[in-house]
Amino acid sequence: MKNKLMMVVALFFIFAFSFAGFGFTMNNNAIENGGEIVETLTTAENRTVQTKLKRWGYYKGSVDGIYGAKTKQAVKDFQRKNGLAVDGIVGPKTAAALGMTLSSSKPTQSSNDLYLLAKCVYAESRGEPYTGQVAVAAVILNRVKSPSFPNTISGVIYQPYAFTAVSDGQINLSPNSTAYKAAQDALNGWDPTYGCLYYYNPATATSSWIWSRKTVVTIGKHVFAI
Amino acid sequence: MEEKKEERKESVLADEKKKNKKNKGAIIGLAIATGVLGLSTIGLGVGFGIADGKAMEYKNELTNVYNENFYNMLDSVNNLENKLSKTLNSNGVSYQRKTLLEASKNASEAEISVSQLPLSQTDIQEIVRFVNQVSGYTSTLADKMIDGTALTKEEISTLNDIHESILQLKYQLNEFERKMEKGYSIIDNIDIEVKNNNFSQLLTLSKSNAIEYPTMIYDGPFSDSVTDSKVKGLKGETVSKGQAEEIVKKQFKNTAEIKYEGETKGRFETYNFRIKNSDNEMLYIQISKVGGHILTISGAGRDGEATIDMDSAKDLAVKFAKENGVEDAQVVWSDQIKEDVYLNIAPTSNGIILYPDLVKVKIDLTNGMIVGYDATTYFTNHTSRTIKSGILSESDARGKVPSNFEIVQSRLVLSPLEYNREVICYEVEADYQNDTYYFYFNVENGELENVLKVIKTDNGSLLM
Repeated sequence: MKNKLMMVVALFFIFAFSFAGFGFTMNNNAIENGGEIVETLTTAENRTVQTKLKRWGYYKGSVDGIYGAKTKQAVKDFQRKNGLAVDGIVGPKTAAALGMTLSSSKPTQSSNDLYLLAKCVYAESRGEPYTGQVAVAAVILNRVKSPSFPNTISGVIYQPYAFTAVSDGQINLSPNSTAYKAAQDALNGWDPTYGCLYYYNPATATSSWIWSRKTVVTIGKHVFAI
Repeated sequence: MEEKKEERKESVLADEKKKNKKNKGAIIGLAIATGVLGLSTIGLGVGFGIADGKAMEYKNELTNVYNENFYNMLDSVNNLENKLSKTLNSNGVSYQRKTLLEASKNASEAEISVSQLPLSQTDIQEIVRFVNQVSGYTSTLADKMIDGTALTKEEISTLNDIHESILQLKYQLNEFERKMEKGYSIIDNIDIEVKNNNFSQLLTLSKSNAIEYPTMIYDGPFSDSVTDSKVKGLKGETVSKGQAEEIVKKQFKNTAEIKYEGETKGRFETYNFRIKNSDNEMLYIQISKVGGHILTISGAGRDGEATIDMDSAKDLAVKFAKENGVEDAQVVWSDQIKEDVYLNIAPTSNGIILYPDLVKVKIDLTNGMIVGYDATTYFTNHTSRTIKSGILSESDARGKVPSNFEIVQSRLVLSPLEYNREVICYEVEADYQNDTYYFYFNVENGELENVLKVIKTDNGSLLM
């Protein structure tokens, strides 16, 4: 009898912890706020917040779904009036007071493309000027679009012998924030090379083939070619 | 004196004891050292043995990966050849369409497998391009056949050429497979150091036994027409390097430093400069030779506390775009990643938002500086257009959205579709279960042309 009870208790803890773990991985759209983890809202949710606050006279701006300074101030005013912690963030308690449920239980997408791109940018060009790093990320994305290369970011990056820093394992270094920013710019459409598919460092390049490509621009130590 | 003698004796005895102890210590030490040495020798041996065993395991794993990819590719090419010969040797639009769709899938599988083989990029570029285009071409034909349209003579002739090339490829791959059956190992024939390896020479996919790949003319995935889009919007006199520098100085009045960084000679021709803005941040600027326009600006922006809000950033971005010739523009999309704000700005014409003429601005919220600008899309597409009116009204369009959606707003837009097509659409923004969607209904025929969904990721939102 006692053993059974112990089992139940043990099982309860196992389940409780596994769910806690599950919850943690699911809520990966959380942002850090002074040590407290809070959820970021979707555009649609922001719009609901704005609509409600506008109806009740807290918010005067337009219902655009963007969590700007005006929305934050309105949320703070609402929290103050309703005896909630005044932080300007719509957490579970504020959401409940607003009469809405958050979508935080929904899984969100990780930024896998950004992460892979930033890793490759860092491995290949961390010593280069910022625009040179954007250009390396742009070349990877141009390859994804080109029929002559694989059609996914992972396919292009991990294509055998395509990038020396992938072959020699530097790809597994942790990218810094500059590499992330450069990768983000390229994903947002920046391409200072206007469609280049290759780059090389003329001081170290050994392939004779690469020299036959048409040079478009030189940024830092890298020659970008098509 | 006697006492002293005694003492000396004792001390001699003690010395002897010490000596003995020392000797004993040395012997024990030697024994331990020998033991340690012996053990470590054994340990090293075992260690190396294990490492060797591990290396073997890794080699086996990699051998399996390469073999799997090779056999996948072989299968895909064999199937592709089979499907195409069925298409060519049958009549009946719906059956041909079915085999073309299967061929498209086989071609795309062939691409994935060949790209993972240890072959140098330059050796396989041609074949990757060929299978990608076969996949795009066959699926485009299948799309056209949806309403029962038969293949044209030209299309059949192109398919014949494609089939011919695939037969050759199939022949080579099957020859190679026979070598594998006789014990050829891919992994033993690759040289990690010298990338031009034995394996790629054996698998003569290009070079000597060159297969002739036919040209496929179509508007669809991987077609050349998509990658070779012409620049339509860049007009004006050609400026000199000196004039370009003046343009930079005019835009960035308080620049402490300006350095010429050479030219770009690609789809766009530009003069490139590196400057420091008034907050001492490095920016890279490209000025078009034709017309002297700012084409791109790129800079990292800094980390820190935001001092301006999103609304001010929007005003700054629209103002900057206007100063650079993008009139009547408005912000159509914004995304914030830490302290960087990305804003897409589209010009309007008679109240219609021109999405193909998008300009992108990146603003650093810590200091309100423009740290990114991209007008290449704008100058590629911007041209005077004749805009046709249609049969679809705004309320018709809203009525076409599924009833469980909550409509947020709707407006007339010029929407860029795949393969350089532009159509006037009603864009209806609607929410469903906390997700935001954009529907695009063609004004001319009322058809749903596109649906975009806002996808939230750990780093900002995506429109897909």
